[in-house]
Amino acid sequence: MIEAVGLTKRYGVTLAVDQLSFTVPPGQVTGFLGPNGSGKSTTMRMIMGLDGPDAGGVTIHGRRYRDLPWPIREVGALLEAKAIHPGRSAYNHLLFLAQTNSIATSRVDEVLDLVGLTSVARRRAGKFSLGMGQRLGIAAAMLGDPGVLLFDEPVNGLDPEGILWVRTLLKRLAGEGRTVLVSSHLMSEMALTADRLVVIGRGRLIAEQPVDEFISANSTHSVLVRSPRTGELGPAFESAGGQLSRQDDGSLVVTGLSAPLIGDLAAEAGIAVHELTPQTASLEEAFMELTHDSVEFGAHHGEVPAVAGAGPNGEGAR
Amino acid sequence: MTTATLPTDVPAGPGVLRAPDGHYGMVGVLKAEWTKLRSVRSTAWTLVAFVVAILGLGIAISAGQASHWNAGNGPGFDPTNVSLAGFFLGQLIVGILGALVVTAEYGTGTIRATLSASPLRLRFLLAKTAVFGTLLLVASEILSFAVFFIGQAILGTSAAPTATLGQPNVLRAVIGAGLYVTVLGLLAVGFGFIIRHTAGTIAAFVGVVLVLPLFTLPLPEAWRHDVFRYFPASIGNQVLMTVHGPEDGGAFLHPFSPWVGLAVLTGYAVAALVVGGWLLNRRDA
Repeated sequence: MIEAVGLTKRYGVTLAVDQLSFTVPPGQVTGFLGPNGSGKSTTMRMIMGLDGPDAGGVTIHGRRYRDLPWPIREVGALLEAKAIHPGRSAYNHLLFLAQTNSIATSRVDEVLDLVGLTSVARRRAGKFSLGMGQRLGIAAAMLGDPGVLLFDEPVNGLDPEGILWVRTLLKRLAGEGRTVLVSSHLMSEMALTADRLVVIGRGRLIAEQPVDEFISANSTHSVLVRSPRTGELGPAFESAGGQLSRQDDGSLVVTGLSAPLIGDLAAEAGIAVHELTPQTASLEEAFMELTHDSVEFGAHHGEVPAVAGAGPNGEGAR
Repeated sequence: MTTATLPTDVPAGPGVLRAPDGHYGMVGVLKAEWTKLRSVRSTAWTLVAFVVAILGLGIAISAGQASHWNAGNGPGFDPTNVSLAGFFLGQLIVGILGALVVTAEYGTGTIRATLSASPLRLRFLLAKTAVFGTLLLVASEILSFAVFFIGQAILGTSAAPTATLGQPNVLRAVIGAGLYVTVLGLLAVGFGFIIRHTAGTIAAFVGVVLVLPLFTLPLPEAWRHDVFRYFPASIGNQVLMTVHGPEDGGAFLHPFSPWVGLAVLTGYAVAALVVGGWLLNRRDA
């Protein structure tokens, strides 16, 4: 269980995290979702006690990170890929972490095996690909067999096989009763992995709810209708309470009416319908819509606007 | 191209590893720091450079004195100092090594892994300082005695005077040489924790050891001597010297005695580590 209360972090004039409160319960994968630069990485560093909050606080099982008696036996984290000395082998990187928390050396071999790095464990990590660096980071997170796990963008740089493996791993870990927080800027990834979502934009909490609730609350349902006589169908739909949007190809997008009702209305009017397709706005669109609002909301309050063109890891503001 | 396949099974549930009672301790952090130190090539290469500098210069300068010896060199000739000449270069190499053991953590991001496993940051600083200081002390004392005996053996092939450990000040100079570079190495560790960047840390160290003393030259004569004795270079001179001839100390008339000098230098290193520790605790990692 992770609990953040009023977490606030400022870097110079930039408010990276703003009064952020959320809870990460055990036994579920909680997706931590937000655009690049929204404060996800900063929040994760504050959970780990690496960055100090300017206000508020965050606890793990009721304790601050630095008060944990055996930190990496209780919390495992993948914070950034390849945060490792390029001249040190994967084995020695994991070995020094294990030694710090009196974890048996045999566990180093176990986690190397778990992530499939055994054959390259003695090589200098500087030669690793981004994906191998990610897997080493996951091995480090698993080293102390912790009950709480944080993963910052864990699928970055992984091939499709690796991505599938990480998704399976996250679900399995949560299924074992562990607390799992995984960040992503990709809603589609979260839709596949997460049970719950904590959504932030510009450092503020936008939503904290189960994934299905988030989707139904934030996506609009519409129905695509194709017919040779859409001009005549339109008024019938409008009088039944639907809103119409005429597409360039002559089709209609109807919101506010279910597909069966639309079919019935067309049948009553005796007009042939060639296509009737319910459409659910993608989660990605719902997410963009939400975070777009949060950016505007922030700017109206005289804050510094988000830096345009921030790189794929732009949240690493330090 | 390296390929490593992903296993399909995932790990056993929580509680497989039972945490012992109590709290992670200093012993584990010391072991971890030793693992870090021995597991990167820069440590080995820098130590090789250190050995080459001390032995190479000590042997070369001893041999030079032996082959060009004439009796006129007699008064003020300091055979111990000649054999320890390599420590003037060695002090820069330990500065680089001391800087790297800290700044490599920051440069590579390892610091975040380190502080995740040891969030009590001063415990980490103390462990790193202790492990590095011990390695440096052992290496430099072994080298100091080795180059002393080698140097005296070379000088002994000529008519030049040679020193023995039983002569006044000689044992102090040989032990002191190792202590001097060890304390300088720890000063660099302190600078590393304050500055956190490799180039900046090495520049600050070289500045304090080599460059800063030059700025005393424009000072009035009377002050210059009193100021200069506080610099590591002056302290090092005194530590490595066993014979005090009439012109001893050159233009610098009020040096600290060797032990007082080493105590002052230790004070600098402790001050740098205290400031570094204070910043380490306050700053974001």
